[in-house]
Amino acid sequence: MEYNFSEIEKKWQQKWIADKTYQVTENKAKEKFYVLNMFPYPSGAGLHVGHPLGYIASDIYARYKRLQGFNVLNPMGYDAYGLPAEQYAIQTGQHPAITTAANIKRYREQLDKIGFSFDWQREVRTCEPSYYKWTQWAFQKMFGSYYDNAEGKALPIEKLATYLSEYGTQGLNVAQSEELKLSAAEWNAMNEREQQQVLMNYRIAYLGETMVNWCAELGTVLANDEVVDGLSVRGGYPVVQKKMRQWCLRVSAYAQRLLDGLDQIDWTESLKETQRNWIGRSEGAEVEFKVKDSDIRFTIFTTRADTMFGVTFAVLAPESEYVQSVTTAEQRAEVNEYLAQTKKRTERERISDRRVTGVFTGSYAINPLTNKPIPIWISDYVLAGYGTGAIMAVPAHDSRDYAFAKHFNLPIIPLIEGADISEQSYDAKEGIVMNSPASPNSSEIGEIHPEKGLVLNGLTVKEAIAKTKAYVTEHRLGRVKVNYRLRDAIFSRQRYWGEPFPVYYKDGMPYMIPEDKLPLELPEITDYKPTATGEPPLGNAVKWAWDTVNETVVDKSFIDEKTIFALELNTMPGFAGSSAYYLRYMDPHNQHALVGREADEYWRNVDLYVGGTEHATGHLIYSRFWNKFLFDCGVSCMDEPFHKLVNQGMIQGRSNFVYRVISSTPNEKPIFVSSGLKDKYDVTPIHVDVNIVHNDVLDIEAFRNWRPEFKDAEFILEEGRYLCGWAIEKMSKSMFNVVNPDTIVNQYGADTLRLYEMFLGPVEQSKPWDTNGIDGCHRFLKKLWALFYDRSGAFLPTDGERRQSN
Amino acid sequence: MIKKVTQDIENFSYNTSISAFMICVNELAQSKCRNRSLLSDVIVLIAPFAPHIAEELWAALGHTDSVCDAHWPVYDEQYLVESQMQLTISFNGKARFQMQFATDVDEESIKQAVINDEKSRKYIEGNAVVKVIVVPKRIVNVVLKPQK
Repeated sequence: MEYNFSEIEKKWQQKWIADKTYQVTENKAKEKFYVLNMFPYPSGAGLHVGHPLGYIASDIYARYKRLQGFNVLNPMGYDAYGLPAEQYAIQTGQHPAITTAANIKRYREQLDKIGFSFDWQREVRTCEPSYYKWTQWAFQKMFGSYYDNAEGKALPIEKLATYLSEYGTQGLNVAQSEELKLSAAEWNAMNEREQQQVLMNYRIAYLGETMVNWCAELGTVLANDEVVDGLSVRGGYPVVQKKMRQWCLRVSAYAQRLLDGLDQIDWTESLKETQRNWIGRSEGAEVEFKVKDSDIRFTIFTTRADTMFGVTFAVLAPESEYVQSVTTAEQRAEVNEYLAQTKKRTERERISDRRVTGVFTGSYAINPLTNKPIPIWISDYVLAGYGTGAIMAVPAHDSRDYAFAKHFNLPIIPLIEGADISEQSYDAKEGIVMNSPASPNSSEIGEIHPEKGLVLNGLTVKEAIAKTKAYVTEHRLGRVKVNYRLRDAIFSRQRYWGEPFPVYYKDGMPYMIPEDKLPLELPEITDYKPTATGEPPLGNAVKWAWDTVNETVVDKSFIDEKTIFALELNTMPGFAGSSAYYLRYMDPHNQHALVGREADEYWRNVDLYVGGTEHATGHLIYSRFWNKFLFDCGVSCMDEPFHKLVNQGMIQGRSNFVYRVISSTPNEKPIFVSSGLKDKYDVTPIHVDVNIVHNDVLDIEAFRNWRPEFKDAEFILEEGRYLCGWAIEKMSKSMFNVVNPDTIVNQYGADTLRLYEMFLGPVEQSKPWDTNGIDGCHRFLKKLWALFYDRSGAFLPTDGERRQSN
Repeated sequence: MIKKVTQDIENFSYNTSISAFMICVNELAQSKCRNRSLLSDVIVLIAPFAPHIAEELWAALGHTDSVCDAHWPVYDEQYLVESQMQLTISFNGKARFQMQFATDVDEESIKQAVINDEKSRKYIEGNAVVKVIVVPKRIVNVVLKPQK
């Protein structure tokens, strides 16, 4: 009897549904195990063979744990909000909800064919009101909270308001946008609006003025990873830096906990390191520098307080508030031109690009230790958001400062004995300090300030850092400070297809819609583009105002600023819906809570999370933050959401090429030369659909039918065949190298597909797809079958004695 | 086989489990294995990878429950333990030769055997033995110091 995979697979897939084989409930008699895949964005292209790799890997693990007796949760859902559906809507007028639903249907069909053990009754879709109700709810919770540094957790904002009314800001140790100084009397004298403005400085979800990547063409703010070389990744439109009032999440308040939490979880060291760098903790000193012949003082942040004797210039970020005031009249034109240039670059580019650019302001600052003037420059290698947006440059011991000093011919003073700085800076925090201060006869650096006798010579770098910090604090030249590179997350998007903010505006201040009125549903609109006045797409909505008396959404024309107010026009970003979805899977039908206590305490957190590395500094930071906040609120019982994380590799495509002979006469029949002979001709390589190539041999007939312009194509063959060239590239439609899992399933069966995807190599490694090798896996299953049934269909196994051990 | 697949799955080294399956099935085919209980174990091991065919053959073996709820076979360490082990003998970190020991031999006996072995003589000669480090089941390192 033959191995009839299509019949077997269909039969069992139906039986699994009928028997609810994969439905799981909280069963206290069994130990739980929670397996999770990063849920997909359902794109219009459907799944290619690369997508299921991680799902298969985690499915194998889920099934294995179940066989070991665990109660396994293995859910699936869709990250359904996103830009592609919205852009498609702009082009075609088709509502994103319709295209999204169609794409989800297609995904589901493809997934079902592969035989996953997903519990589909727990499916979530981030665009469903019953789901995003809890996204909005979490946002409101964040709005209603502040972060108390002393307690190390989020607390209700009312508690802060009470504190302010009793003590003002005296003794306040909280996360904040800027340091405010208020007495209790001042606070109590404020009207409601003023008090709200003050509270905004502390809320975990707050409205803030931030620098954003603004793309006028797309009419929206873009995340750093959506911009490359000053152009939007999608569409290639120009992007500029612009200040805007936006919703932000105070992720920075959790920086230390995000860092500490990494030690408790089982992730790869490289991924942890990526997050550590992204969080970027540095302990250093803030030191005040006075501008020469002026009253202006600016503060710099440095982790290398020991190098203050080697400062030969100061650098301001282009966005620094001091840029205008320190720029002299002679330098103004040059400075303005530089500022215009840097506006086009995103922060990420500025960090990664090592090109040296900068401009002199014309002013000098006084080094507080040497009393000597140093020139003040502006350069975009200094970021406005890191530290104070101003640095003291020590070119001998910092590579970026070194490159800058070499480029602009600024002095370099070595401060560590024996360090060779002729070719590059000596950045290591090791060695014995010298030139700090330099001997009095040195002409290069200033003499020591008469009253301030700090001497570091002879100390190790570590000792010198500690001594300088103490000195700086003692002499009130600055203070010791821990700094993080991690920024607050910008949470507003000028888009339609996202979660609406449950917020209305009264007197310019945001107010929350009552919790029991959530979700605030996304309104219907007909034009998905920004409005003519530059408002986000929700500006096109007609019924989009909040009636505070009847607590309902009403027509905009009723807005009277008394009881009926305008609703927020921005929507939430992509990461909003994906930040707590793992909690919702635990209890997806709960109408009273994001997750019920019982379900949460049973499933706790994800034991195994499988997904791509591209989320290292996005989703995996945001969801950890989001979970920590919910942990503080008592919603989630675990501080870390994902215990073990495995990054599956990418499946690359194996593209095939044909070589068209370049002809001087147009309209001639196209001629293609076989790969082995192509060097004898002048040719253009053209991607050819891999589905009409077998073992690199082109199916000529299929090729002629592939596209009308190749109908009359002629071929120069070798050994009677047309051989194609090949290359390993990203699997994508435009490369014609997409292999659809359905094709494989139809031809070989789901079990063969599953085996082959895993057989290609270690899960965590990227590897090219090569359909040529799949026969081996298929033969294996046939052999397995043949152990049970002979050709006549007789069943072979018997109850005889077991001869062979393992 | 059970041990290998269990460890491979724990390490997400699925490709090597599949290779092991292939070898196993070839061997079973050659030996014309018909044993129901052994084949049942094989099916359970393969089930996470190829659940459809596993269900079909599991049912054919007479089971009425889904293979998803079978029990993962346990391997018996007793059958896996080898009675002999091979240790690499090194001097000041340089591997020199191999020696065979019974697996249950104690550390002190290993040390004595290594120092007194004929092959060790030329490395030890003219040196004092500072200490002997035994890395269980792998390496013995003899730390030497030239004698003055």
